[in-house]
Amino acid sequence: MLILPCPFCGQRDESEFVNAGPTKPSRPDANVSDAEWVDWLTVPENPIGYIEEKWWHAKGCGKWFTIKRHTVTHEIVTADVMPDDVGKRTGETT
Amino acid sequence: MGYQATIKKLGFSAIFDIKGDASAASKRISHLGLVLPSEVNTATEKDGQYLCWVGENHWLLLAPAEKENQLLETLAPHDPAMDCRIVLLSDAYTFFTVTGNQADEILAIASPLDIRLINFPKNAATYSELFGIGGLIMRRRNGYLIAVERSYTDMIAIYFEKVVTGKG
Repeated sequence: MLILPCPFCGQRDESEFVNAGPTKPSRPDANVSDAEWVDWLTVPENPIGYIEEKWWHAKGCGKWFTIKRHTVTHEIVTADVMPDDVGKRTGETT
Repeated sequence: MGYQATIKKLGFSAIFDIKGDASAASKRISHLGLVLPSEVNTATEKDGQYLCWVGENHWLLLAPAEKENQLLETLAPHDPAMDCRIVLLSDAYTFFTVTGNQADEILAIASPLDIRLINFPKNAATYSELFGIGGLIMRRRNGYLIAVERSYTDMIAIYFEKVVTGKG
């Protein structure tokens, strides 16, 4: 079980999230071969080491974010941070 | 083995979902005397009304059922303001309270949420997982207030019964 760093909620249990797969390189040009297109669309990298992947806090705040996770140790070394404008709301009143 | 906790299904409550710009949301609710929570996943309270900050641009307003009509008029949820959307959700949720000396133990079984006071303080309110589905959890005096989608009411009631009585 992973503990994932939601940018809004902080550390939460993996069961609150949905994994949306690894981040992809940019979509290739439309003129690429079918094989290259299928490779981009359906074949994820599966390295031993760090991958970037997207997660959705589906049962929590609903935020989408990206983390960098080691596929063997599950160490998470980077995560999205809360946008500045949200932090600035602290203390806001009517 | 049972637990010293009481589960109670509550009656109808008024619920409004508020999404959009924080300053716009603040203006739309200003007449209620409520302020936006200053910490994420917490709630502010005024006259039995609770405003929960549950997402980056997302708040839930909970109020007694008898205030629903008045809130419908004053919040104008059908006003298509582009900077702040308010939707009436009263029909969508069922509330439970979990109270008693061992309410924490019940929550620990129902949800993976870290409910230690240091991480889930007295005014905490957040969406999390409850028996495998999403739900709202708020800390209250001597326990918790839980909201789940209405279609799961019977299932959650049965699960709570099994947990409290230890007959599962």
